[in-house]
Amino acid sequence: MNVSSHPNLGHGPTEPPPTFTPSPAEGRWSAAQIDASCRWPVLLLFASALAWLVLGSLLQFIIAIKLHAAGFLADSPWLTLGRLRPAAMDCFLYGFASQAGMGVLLWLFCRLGGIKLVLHWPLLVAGKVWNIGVTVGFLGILLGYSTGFEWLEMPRAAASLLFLAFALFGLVAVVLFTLRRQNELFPSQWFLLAGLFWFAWSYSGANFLTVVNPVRGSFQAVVNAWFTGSFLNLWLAPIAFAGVLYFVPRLTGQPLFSRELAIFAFWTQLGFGSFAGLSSLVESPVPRWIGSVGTAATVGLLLPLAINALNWHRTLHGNCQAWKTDIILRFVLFGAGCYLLQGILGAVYATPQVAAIIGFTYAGVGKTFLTLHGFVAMVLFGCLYYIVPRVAQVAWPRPGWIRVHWVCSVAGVGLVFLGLTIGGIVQGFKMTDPQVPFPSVVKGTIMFVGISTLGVLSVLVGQIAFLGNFALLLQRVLQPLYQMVLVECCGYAPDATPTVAKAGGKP
Amino acid sequence: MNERPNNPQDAEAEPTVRRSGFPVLVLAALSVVLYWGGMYVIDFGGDADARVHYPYRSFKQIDDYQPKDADAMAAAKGALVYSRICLACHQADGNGSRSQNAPPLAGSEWVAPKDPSRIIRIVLHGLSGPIKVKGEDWGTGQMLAWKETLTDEDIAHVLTFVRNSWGNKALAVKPEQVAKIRKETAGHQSYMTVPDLEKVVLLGTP
Amino acid sequence: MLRIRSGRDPYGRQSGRETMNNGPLLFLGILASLATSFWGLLIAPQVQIGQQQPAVIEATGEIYPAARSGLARQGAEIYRSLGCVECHSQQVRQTGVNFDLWLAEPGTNRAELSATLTRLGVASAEVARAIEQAPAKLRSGLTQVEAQTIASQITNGDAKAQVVLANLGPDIQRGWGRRVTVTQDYLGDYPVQLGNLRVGPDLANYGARSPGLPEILKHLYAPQMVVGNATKPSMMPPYRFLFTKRKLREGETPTLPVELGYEVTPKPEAEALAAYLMSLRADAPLKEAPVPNPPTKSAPAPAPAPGQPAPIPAPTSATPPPPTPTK
Repeated sequence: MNVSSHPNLGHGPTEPPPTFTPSPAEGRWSAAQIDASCRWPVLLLFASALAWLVLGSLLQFIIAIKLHAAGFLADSPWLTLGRLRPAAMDCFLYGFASQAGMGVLLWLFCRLGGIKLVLHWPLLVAGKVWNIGVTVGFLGILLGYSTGFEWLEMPRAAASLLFLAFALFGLVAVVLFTLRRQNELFPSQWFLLAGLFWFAWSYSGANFLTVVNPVRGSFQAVVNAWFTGSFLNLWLAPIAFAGVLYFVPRLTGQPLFSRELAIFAFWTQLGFGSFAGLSSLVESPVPRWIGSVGTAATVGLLLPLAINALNWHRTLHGNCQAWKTDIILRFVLFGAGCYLLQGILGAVYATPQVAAIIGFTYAGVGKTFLTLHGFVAMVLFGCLYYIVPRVAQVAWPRPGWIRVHWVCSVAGVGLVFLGLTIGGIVQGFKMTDPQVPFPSVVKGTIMFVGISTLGVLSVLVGQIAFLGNFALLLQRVLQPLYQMVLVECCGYAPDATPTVAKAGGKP
Repeated sequence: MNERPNNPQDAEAEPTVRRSGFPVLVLAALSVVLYWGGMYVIDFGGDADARVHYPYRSFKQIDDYQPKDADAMAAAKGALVYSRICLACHQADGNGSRSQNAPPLAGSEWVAPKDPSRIIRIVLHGLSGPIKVKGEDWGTGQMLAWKETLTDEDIAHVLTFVRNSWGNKALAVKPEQVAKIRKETAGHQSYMTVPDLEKVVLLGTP
Repeated sequence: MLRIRSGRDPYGRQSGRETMNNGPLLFLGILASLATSFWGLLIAPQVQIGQQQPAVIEATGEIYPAARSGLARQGAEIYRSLGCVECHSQQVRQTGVNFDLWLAEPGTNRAELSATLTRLGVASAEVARAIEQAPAKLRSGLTQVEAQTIASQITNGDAKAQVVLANLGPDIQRGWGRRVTVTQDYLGDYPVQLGNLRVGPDLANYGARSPGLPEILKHLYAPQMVVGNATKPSMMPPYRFLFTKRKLREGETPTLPVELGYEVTPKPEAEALAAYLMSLRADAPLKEAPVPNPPTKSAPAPAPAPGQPAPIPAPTSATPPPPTPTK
């Protein structure tokens, strides 16, 4: 199979899919014009997102080593495990996933709305402020200014910057949404719109109730769980859903199987999503109804899960060929598969009987990894591989590296997930047996943590391949600009041949 | 491989979506999930009571589990009997009443010895004639016999209450002790008198 | 899948007019989902536990939770800043309850008592031991009704049996607490650090089993010296950066013997952290989380073991020692 020859990697047109919808409204811009208009804001978001992604995974690798070699890098406070873990997590959540998600959102709003991207300057400012915010937050956590709330660890200054940046971004996104020239909304647009509002509301609300004007006692934990649930189920997941819903029909050339199913998936996800976060409080020191509501809602999330699975599966129906030939589709579908698995696991882990065993073990960490790196990240990777060459108007320089990324990611996610899940279950059974002394419980996990370390390393290698590929692509995008600047300002005309030669280079 | 231009996607029409019709089965599934979720929260929601935490099911259950002294329970039941039967004469504060000829129970040497044999007899058969309580003479009135009205349990409970209230401190009275004395004194037809009582030897006294 | 309609709707309307294409309506729907979630999950708990006040412990009249000392509050900041919550939870879980039956007082009629006990299936050697050592545990793992039935048979004359609650669960058996932790325990905490991973033991009730200041400092400086052995060493990283060290002079003895030939002195951060750890308690007898109160001898209670801080007075001051903590 020759990956690089596939049109979706930026080399050619796709066949127009059979259309069942009314013809677009007047005045749609062409895809090429839209992509060109998205170029700088989207590339800026993606470039910084990938940098954060690799930084976060690097820290994850250090953390994984520290979990089986306690003395590793133990002598500086800013490298202590308790600071690295939230820092790495926030790198991924805010640096990568949210930022790449914003880029995907812009591009999808433009493409699906048939409009060019407008308001570039506000977007570039929002992107800059967002990255400054993530940097401040990241350094703040390493320097010990973490707030101590899961996924909200960034200190107040950073959180304010993030919120301001997102508010600006959100305004532009809403303007884009209202400017759309296509009346019929594609399901992806619903999810993106919901994510947009939910992130703004839940992030500001949770920060207000935990950091600015904190509530009392273990109610803080309730707010925290509400936020993590909302962030995952109503911000990251909707972005990924939008990606799957868009790219499965796009890459297979089939129409999406059912709009009605998508409507149900949308509203049920919206209804159960934020409540589901509370399932982490089953058996915790909060009134029992809170954990029970969380359990019921997490089971309820199986409904959008089943609907999505049906809808996606029927869209794919009879398109095994596409899986074999199209690596972008594979990223997206792997992500979709991880979504199904993590959803089912979520419902299982949320029952009190199971939580009594695997609570406080690595199994939960493994499931979170599956959700974030298997589901959200893989779908986003697929989106990026498709979008970047189009908006940059440059093909991927190293198609082979995409395969490396794919293989490493699948292997890595598999190793981390299996290692931590099996390790967590073993740990859970030992922990619930009071005869097993606690040091033995921890010692018993070391082999599994070792497996997960290999997995994290594999994931990291794949992501470096992605980052490298992206950097080379960016270099090609910027090369003409450099030359222009050099010629204009210095009267210097460098030898332009190397890049051109490389562009057509060997696969 | 680069024979095509990089960005020729004007032919890229956006993906489309089919209409499959209203998914009734999904609506049915939603109803099932909502019904089940509601039942689950009702079953395991601890009545939405903020004081109920896992693993407790309801606040009533927690209440039942409160550390309880058997004697304290008996005294609590006895308080009810007291307010129904005894309070009218002996008063809520246990200090009795001159106008009703009811001697005080608080601090009374008749009420709170270790062995309750005499006080059980008084409650069972009533009391008639003069009696000296806390150094004062009482004696024109009569106390009714309660052997027909009150069960052994009631008498044990009320005596446990009386012997542990208003500063009194004495062992609880058990229904078995009442039953035993009821049997021993079954032939006693009239009210008890002080001489009758003084014939009863109290355990633990010289 | 049942099809009611397919393609366009029966009236041939342009699909662009339907709800799911209407931006403002979609916004209202999303807003409604937020409102539901906000009222259900933030306002309702705010009404229930947001206004919670410190409770008065009935048995002792003490206010719970008591405010931490200033040093311990500084220590809480260190705990948060170092991210201790990433490896240590602060919540004790409980799987259920059952009941123990105790012989509270053997009374005077020992022959009858031992006959009753034998009839109830207590081994004769046990009977003698229980009567000798009363108060002593007779049976465990009973339901409340079973325990009360047996208790009523034993209680006769001045012999007394008592039904005692037993909280169950591996956390409690590990000695991490006497009962489940509840909202009341966290009333004074900010931020509340419940945690979701146990690479180290639970710390909700660490103050009750703390080995004392020098041991805690030693643990922070060199965990492997305190916990585990050569094959199963502690997995806690050392926090040497919370200490200063200098070479010992001739004839000096170290105040904290953790490193040969060095005088190791805790920085204020280490002392604050240790004070915070020692202040962690979650074992007060609360109404919503009853703790076992086994009967006590009328004789004065034994003094708490040396090195242990005075326990929060429970209704019964001399409880049997909790199972040996397996750290």
